Amino acid sequence: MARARAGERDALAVLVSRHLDDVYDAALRVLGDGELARDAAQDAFVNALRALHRFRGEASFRTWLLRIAVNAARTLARRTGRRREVVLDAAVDVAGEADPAAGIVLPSEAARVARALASLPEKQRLAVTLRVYQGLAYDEIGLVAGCSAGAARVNYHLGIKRLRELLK
Amino acid sequence: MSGMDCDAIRDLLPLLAHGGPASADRARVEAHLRTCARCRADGELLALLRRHAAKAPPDLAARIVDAHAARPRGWRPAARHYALAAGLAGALLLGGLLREGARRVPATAPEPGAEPPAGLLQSFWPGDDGLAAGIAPSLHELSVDQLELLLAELDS
Repeated sequence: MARARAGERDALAVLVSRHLDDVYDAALRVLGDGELARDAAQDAFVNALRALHRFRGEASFRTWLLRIAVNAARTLARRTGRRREVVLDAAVDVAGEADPAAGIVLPSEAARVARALASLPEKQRLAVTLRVYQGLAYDEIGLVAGCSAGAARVNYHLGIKRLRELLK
Repeated sequence: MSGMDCDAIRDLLPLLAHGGPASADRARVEAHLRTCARCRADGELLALLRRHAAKAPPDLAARIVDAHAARPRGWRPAARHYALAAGLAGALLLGGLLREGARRVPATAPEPGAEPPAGLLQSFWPGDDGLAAGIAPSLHELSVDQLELLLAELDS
């Protein structure tokens, strides 16, 4: 972290690689679009690296970074009017398939999971993915998503309940 | 129940794949799963979700490091705010001095009737009667844009 703070390129690359999947995933869950999630992840890292000297360690670095990522994704969503369309494209983006003309067939399980996740309200989707994919505690999810720990727990359980129905 | 109820188990289930919870709780969760089909089904649901976690595109890390390296340096927003605040403070101080000067035309003041400078500074230039004209004493009425323009003129 000290070397990254000093701006050493190798240290920055390690820091970015360590957290990139988490940041990209959080941005993708908000935006539901791979290209926009890429842009949001880049904005989040550039902003975070620029503000690295202000990171005081009250929260974990990952939580701090994820909060920046979710804010960057929400800002981009507002700017592009993307949020309401999340359900339409998320399955394709999460499954990694982009070009039906190229003859790639979506794996049905991946598509079902992606569609089910995308159909959740954003706060449930974030609570579920931050808990399941990243193992965050409820208070950390609250910090990232901008809600209380109690609300994060409720959102997680409501999301899981809905997914149970959709994926049975 | 194996010592824990289903709600507590379902809170802890997603942490199993991340090395949590602490070993005592972990043993109780695992014991519970052996006897509770519903919680086991939830565990399977979480495993299904985990199989389809999103992965960042492979070129994104390099793109981010390049973007960070290419960022503009030497003019951070915080520094800009400090500079603007210092500039405004200086302008207010100058305004106070000019206001005083308008009342007591100092020896260093330009000759009455001398050619005034262009721009907002013109407003502070003494007129033929030795008094500053225009908006000179009223800096607080200037917009931020006007204050920035004034600072630029003072710097030039």
